Amino acid sequence: MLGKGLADMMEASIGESVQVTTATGERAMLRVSGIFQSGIADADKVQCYANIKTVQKLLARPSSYYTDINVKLHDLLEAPAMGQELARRFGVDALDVQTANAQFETGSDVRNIISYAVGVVLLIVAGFGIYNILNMMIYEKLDAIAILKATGFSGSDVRRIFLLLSMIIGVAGGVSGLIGGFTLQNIIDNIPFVTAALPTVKTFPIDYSPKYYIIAVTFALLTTWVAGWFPARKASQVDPVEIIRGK
Amino acid sequence: MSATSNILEVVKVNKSFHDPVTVPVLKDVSMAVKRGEFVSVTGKSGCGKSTLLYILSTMDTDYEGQVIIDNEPTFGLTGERLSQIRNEKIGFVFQFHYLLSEFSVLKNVMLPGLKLAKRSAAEIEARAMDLLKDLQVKDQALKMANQLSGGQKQRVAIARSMINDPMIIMGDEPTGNLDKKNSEIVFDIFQKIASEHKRSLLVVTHDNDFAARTDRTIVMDDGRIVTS
Ligand SMILES: Nc1ncnc2c1ncn2[C@@H]1O[C@H](COP(=O)(O)OP(=O)(O)OP(=O)(O)O)[C@@H](O)[C@H]1O
Ligand SMILES: [Mg+2]
Repeated sequence: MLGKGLADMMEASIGESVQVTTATGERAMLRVSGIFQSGIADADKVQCYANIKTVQKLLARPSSYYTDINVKLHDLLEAPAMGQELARRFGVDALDVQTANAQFETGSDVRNIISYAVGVVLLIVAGFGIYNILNMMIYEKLDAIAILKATGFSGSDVRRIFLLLSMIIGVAGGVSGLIGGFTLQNIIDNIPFVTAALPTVKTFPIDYSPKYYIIAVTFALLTTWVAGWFPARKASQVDPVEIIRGK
Repeated sequence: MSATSNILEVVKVNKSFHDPVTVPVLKDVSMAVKRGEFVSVTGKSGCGKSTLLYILSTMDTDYEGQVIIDNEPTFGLTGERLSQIRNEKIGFVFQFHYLLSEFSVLKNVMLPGLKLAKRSAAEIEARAMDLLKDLQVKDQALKMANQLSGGQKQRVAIARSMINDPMIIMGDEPTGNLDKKNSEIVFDIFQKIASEHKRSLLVVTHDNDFAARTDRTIVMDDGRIVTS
């Protein structure tokens, strides 16, 4: 099995035979049974695979000779534990995928931290905006609050009204944020992203996972609730007599 | 005078304002209003009439003494309970008409009834319309509250105070903004709910003719009741 880049260079196609030379100078004619493309051009240009028995024979080694075993797990996160377990049990070197890609992981961790930090800062700013709007609204509506209280609405009724108001802002903002986010994702998903290193990737890679939508809505609602809570409490404590006298 | 026939009883109420210096405003005020009684309160400006009314309406809780409404002592009750009492047992008409400009006239009248939730919205609406008709502002029902004249607003506020059929209606110069004719209409309605529905009324007024025609007039001077 030849990598696509390699096959293209040798102009080899399925069914044809190619000559293989090992590091020790052994030669053999092997038939091309397939061509693969991993998606990473650099790897496809140099890699090829053959049956383990053939390779052992070619290298003149016994059938117990293995240099590497790659294990693919359903759950990537189990890799470090499993690596240690295998190393202990069979006395071999085990390298888990996280350690192997540590540099890449650190890079993407930093990027995640930055994007979450920007998100949190935006939420705080928006939260203060809502807080201010509701605070101003309470000053405007002092008369109305006083009338409601004088006619028998309690402080908690008033607080409920203002919390409801802020939650309406939160839900409206959250939903329009989701729609906006989804639209943007769609647009970005269709932007061409062509790079020689990754020949199978044609557009920007997008993760539509609902996880991010849930996080976004939860934080939007949490922010508006907190931002609304303080003005709502203030409204509930308005003294109607003071307002009615002041008129 | 048996305790049960009193809708409202006031026992030795004292109140002072402390800003900037302590000024006593109400001094040992004691009085009672019986079921079905129409009482007016007069006295010169600044003698403490509004202050007393705010305490009696349970809105002002910063006083000494006791206010008993429908045989329930109210001093020290929670805000939650006091607002229930206000909603169910007291109708209040302010010295200055106070309507919610965000709502229609009809909604304004209905609101305390919707809060009480003892009757369906349709029943409350029907009752609100009847009250507006009695006060001759039925044609204004669907206007926004801020589109009314001062006198019309005051009559709407009176309708609102009656929506839950309260034990007692308190008014701080409820006819202060009305001409002779409308003042007459309000007086007749008040008299009718006192005599026919056995509800009590406690009305602050500067109109001597109005006061003279009520069952009893309480005269205040400098924070004290001089005639009751
Ligand atoms: N918030 C306050 N702080 C200090 N003094 C006050 C305050 N509110 C009212 N007063 C004083 O209390 C006294 C009684 O006021 P109140 O409003 O009860 O008078 P009133 O009898 O209703 O007068 P009017 O007929 O003009 O409405 C007045 O001398 C007033 O100056
Ligand atoms: Mg007054």
